[in-house]
Amino acid sequence: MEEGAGKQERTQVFYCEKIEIVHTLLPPHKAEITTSRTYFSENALLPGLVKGDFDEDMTAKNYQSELLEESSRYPDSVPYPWLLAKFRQLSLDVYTHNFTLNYPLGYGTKYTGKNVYAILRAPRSASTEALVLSVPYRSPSSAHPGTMPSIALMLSLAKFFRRQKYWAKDVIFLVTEHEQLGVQAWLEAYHQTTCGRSGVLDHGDMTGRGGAIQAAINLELHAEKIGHVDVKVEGLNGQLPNLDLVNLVHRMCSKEGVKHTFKNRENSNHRDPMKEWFHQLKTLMAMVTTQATGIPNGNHGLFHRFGIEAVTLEGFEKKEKGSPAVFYQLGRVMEGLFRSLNNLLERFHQSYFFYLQPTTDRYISIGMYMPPLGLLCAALLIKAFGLWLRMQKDPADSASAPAGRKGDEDILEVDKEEQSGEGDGAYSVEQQVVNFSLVPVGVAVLATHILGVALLSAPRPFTTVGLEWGGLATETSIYVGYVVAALVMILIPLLASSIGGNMESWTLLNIVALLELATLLLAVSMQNFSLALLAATIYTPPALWMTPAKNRSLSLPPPPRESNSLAILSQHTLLAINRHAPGRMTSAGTHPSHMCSLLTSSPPAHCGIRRRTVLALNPPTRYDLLFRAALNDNPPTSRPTYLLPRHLGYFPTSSLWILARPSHHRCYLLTTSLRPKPAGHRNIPPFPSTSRLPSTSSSMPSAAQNKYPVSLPLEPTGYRHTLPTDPDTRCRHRAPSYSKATAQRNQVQDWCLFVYCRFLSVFQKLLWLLLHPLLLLTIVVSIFTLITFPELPWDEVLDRSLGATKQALVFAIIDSSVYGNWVFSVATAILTPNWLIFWLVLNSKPLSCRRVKD
Amino acid sequence: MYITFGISQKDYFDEELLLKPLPSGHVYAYFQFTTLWDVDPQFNIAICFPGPWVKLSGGTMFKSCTLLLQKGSGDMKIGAIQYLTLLLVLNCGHGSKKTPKSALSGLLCASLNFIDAANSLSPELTLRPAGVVDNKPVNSSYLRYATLPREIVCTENLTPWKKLLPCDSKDTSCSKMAVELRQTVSLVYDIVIVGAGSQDWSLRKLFGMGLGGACPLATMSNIYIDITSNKTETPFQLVPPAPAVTTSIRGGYETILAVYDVKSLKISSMFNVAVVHTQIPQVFNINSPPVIFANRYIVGYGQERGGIVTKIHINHWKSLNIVYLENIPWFLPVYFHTLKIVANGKEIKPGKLGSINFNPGMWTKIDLMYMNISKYVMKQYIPGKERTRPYYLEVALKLPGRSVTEISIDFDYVFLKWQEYPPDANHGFYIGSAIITALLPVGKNYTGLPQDGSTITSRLAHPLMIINSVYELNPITFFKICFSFNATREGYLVQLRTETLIITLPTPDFSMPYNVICLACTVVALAFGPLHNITTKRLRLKDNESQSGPLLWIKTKISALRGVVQEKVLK
Repeated sequence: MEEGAGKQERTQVFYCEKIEIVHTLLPPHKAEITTSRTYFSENALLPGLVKGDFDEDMTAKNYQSELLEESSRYPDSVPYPWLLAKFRQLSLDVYTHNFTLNYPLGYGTKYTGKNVYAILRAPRSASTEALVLSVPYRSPSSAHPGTMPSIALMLSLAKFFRRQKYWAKDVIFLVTEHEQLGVQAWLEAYHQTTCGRSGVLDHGDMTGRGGAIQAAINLELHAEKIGHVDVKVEGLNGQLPNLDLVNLVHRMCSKEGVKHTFKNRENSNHRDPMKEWFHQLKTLMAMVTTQATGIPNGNHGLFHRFGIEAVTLEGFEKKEKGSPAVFYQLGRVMEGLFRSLNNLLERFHQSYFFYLQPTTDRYISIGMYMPPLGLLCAALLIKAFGLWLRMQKDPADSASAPAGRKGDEDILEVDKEEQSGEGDGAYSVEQQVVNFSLVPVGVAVLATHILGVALLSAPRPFTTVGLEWGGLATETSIYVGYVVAALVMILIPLLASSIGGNMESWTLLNIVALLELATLLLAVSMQNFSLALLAATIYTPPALWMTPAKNRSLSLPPPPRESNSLAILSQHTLLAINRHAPGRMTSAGTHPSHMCSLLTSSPPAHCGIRRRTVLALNPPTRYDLLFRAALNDNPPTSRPTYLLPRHLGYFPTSSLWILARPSHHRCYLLTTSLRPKPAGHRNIPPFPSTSRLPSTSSSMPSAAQNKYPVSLPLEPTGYRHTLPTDPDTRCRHRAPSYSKATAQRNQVQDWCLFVYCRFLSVFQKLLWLLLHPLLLLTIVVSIFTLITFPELPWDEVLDRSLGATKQALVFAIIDSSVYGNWVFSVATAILTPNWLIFWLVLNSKPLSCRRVKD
Repeated sequence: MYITFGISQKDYFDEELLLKPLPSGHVYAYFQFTTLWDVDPQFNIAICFPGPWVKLSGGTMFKSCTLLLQKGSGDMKIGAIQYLTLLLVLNCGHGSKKTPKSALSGLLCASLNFIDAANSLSPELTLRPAGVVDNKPVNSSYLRYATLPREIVCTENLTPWKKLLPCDSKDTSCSKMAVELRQTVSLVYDIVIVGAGSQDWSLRKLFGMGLGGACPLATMSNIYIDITSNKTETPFQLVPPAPAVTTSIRGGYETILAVYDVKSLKISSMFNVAVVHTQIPQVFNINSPPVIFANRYIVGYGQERGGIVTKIHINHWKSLNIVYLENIPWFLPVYFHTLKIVANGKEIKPGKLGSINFNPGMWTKIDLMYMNISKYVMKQYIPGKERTRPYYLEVALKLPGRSVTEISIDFDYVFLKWQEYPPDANHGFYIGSAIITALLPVGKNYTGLPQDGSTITSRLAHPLMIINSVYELNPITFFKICFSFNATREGYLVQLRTETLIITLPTPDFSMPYNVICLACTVVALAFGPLHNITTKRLRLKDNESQSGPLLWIKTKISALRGVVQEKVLK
């Protein structure tokens, strides 16, 4: 059963990975299957039902020229008097809203800002509901492209809207300062609440309010003549607006003949489906990467938290030839949008809130994209469950093992000293009773998470320390601080390994880490699928590979009952694998002549053994030596014992690979109880030609096996050596029958294997090191820098990317304290501890090893 | 729309219209129709009073009833009241406790039948009968107050309302009661929308047609146009010019009214009054803020916790006493301990009701409170019960002058039973408005009636003058006599009704049952076939020997081949 579970686990994990990879790529490719054409779910929107009446385009032009003139007088701020006067002229209720930002990483540094907003009171209702049209004001000195035309359009829209009598919802015209900060402060003041850390953003007070805001449109036009309008949807923490609103925007744009794009990419019409797929995939990946950061890519993104559906319409200047979209068309688009929103009876609730868009008119629903991620996480869960099962199985099996079986098995100690020193119990199967205690596991989990919380609140101390001791800039001190913290974390295993803990504890820790990672990924995917997807693709495969160093002993199953041929009794004999079918469950020896039935039931998934020649052990460095043990194909009638000393030669026909602790010199025990071979089969090689799964072997009549004892051309003939019959002579000496050449060859092969395993181990550790969140951030930022500035020399790129990483870190911290963006918090408080747990597991030195060493 | 009942000793029908242009470009129109008469026990004849109402009031189930149907256009600063449906039933104690709500809802085409114990309460301080009511103490336990914020006011309500007017109603009948019926309509017109670019307005522009003449039954039939702003704002002219201009001084604020006595105008066809601006105004001004105005909103986000905040702005230099009444529906469980009153950043702690020594009579109590309490505040709170009782909160406060006070209380969002959701569940749930009652010391921006008067005329002078003179004098003459009178009272009662709120309760996905049904039906459909097959058909064993097929053939071939190969290898 356990074997079954193990196998299942392995295959499932394997398939989960494979399916996931295929599935993620599938959506754009099989567009007809996974993506659907967008449609309006909410009928009340009645998009574009009424012909547009907007005719204030000349007014907008006048406003535009006035505003340009006015803004030149306010190089760094908003022309408040002008804006207030314009809104007041339209007999709207005009208000200003002041806010203050206390810079979270500075002491007493304050920034102030002021928003202007006007409320058009709906003639048809009692200010219970409201719509928002917001425009960020950008002064001429701003680094971002200007938004003057959108303010001009907003004013002309206000003028037009004011004269209409169909409004059932208040329309709030909002001009914000300081980009997203202004919108955040305004929203917080409107709802009188604080989203980020308290005391950071003082949202101020607000006098005028409309009703509950139902939807918001953020307008950013960079020029009077617009080439295309880009519809931005990604919001804070990856929240998206209701798909109906996005559809509405696209529909209105196409109705008025305004070119509209998503992620600045137009819908392509390639004949070649592969090209088309690639185009869509690129758009999709652009959305995924934007969404994964959790940073809104427009002011609309901050509305989502408050249950307000919002999008940004960003208009880019028409550069190439052709007729541009001017105020007239854009005004009609906005009019259509607001009339549709005005029609709404209920809040947006009909359509999707979770979707991905490969084009403007297709979407992938949550039902399509969640399963792959679910499978990725399921792999982690299955692996954890499998480990748990094995932990549970070992004692249970030995306890329930039939008494007679024990007699069949031999526990033979070669080294008498060792035997006397350690006693039988140390190597008996029974010794593997799960005797872990929860204390070290709990302590480890708690300690790592406390460390995570400490890191979360560390930026401020880092800044202080950096400023006082080295006079460092904020970003440098924070970055250095986190690098130091990362180094400490990397070195923790040295400390922790001395504490020890037995094998089971480490495994349990591994299980906890796996569960935590899976839970984290699933929880993140609930709000920010893209982030979860990227994190899962990065972290899941290595995490599946992680095992505590001695985990193999756990994965070692009890001897198959039906074979009663071989028992590996030492805790240090880690793995035995049927060479013929490594990676498969084998207990092939139903035939009595095949004395060497193997118990390598299901090598654990973390072994990564896929092919018969590769023995990828995890981590291989734990084993200085890799032994191949062979069993005599010419067994004596008595129970033979094979001692496999350290430098024993190879027994290439062997079906066993026995790995042992290097430090442990003598105790490589491989005992088997062999039945006398039937006469006439003396020369038959020990193994059946093919290894069979227990099911197949049991289903095959043993008579058939007897009938066709097959020798297998296993290896080059040079490997074919038989052990001397007398086991004792081989105990301490190299097999005499070896030729020198063979021995050398074996030696070389041994070293090759050793080096290979060593390399794998180092590679695994390096990989996991690279996955430290801080390092990952650095790498990602560096890659982006490299992509952005491909022509720069490498040292320049390095310099820039380091600077960018520092900036990114600081921005992440500020975002989390001002807006409540949780990417930084999750990365430091949960992901980093989780990483650390895996790192501990990876570098673990379980107690049992050291005991043997003694 | 406003309907008030009261028992009285007088008998007349008045129709009045007050028009007031506001600096912000709005025009406030206030119609008031007062039917009031003294019923002689000997003669059961009433000329003006509508029959159904007679029957209704004849049951003596209530002494006074105020019904307010409101549809708001929302600026508190305009001074117009908005937003809600309100029913006030004063029960005198005799008669059944059942409110005549079904009769009323039939009369007014309003869903008054939704009023029940779960949304009505008996406020102690805020409400008192208006109009001509004897000032006997009223036990507040006979008071019922409820709001139906979800109710939509439309012409459907207006038609039956109009039927109640004596000139429109063909069915006037007799009554034995002494009843006052006051019907009012308040409208605020937005000249920007109505005026099509110009700020000029006229009766025809606002109401679609001119005035056909006075109701022959009316004792008084007047149109008042507030021309106070003519001095300060953009000057305008009245066409035709007003036959009389009168001044009312209330609490130091002077109001100039142009009065058109429609009866004396001798209208032959249609009568129209227009306001024509002599110079084109460029910008609309801001309304000067009233002495007290309030603003209410929901705070917080998400669907776990929230709060209701009422902000009361006081523009008076002196402190004001107010009474704040909340009727919070049961599905919005509020926490009383979170009630926080912060005036100008300083928290006010309301005391217990018992800390003030009131006279036993309830009405004297409220008067006392308005007039005299200076350093006391008090609160009354009855927690709600799920599905049976709303949360009742009434706080009497003394607010400092020139202050902004925030009254906030926190609540939890709750799940309702799925049948309790309305069909448009995602529209949100309405929370009725709060009532803020104050006795203003000044008459600034105040257009309301005095508490002791019934007609607009009564705001012009002291009530005694009206009572003595109204029956003998032509109104114009009356104005001419008494316009110079100072109509100042001790206070001007104002009741502000705040905005109705809309909140989104956690709403289940109502398409889920549909999905479940679909899924279940699919399963049933799929299961039916095999089940039917199994139960109706007989299973019989088939001969195994005859089985053959390409697969089996291949299998045997392969095994044979394997045997051969193995043998060879062995050799």
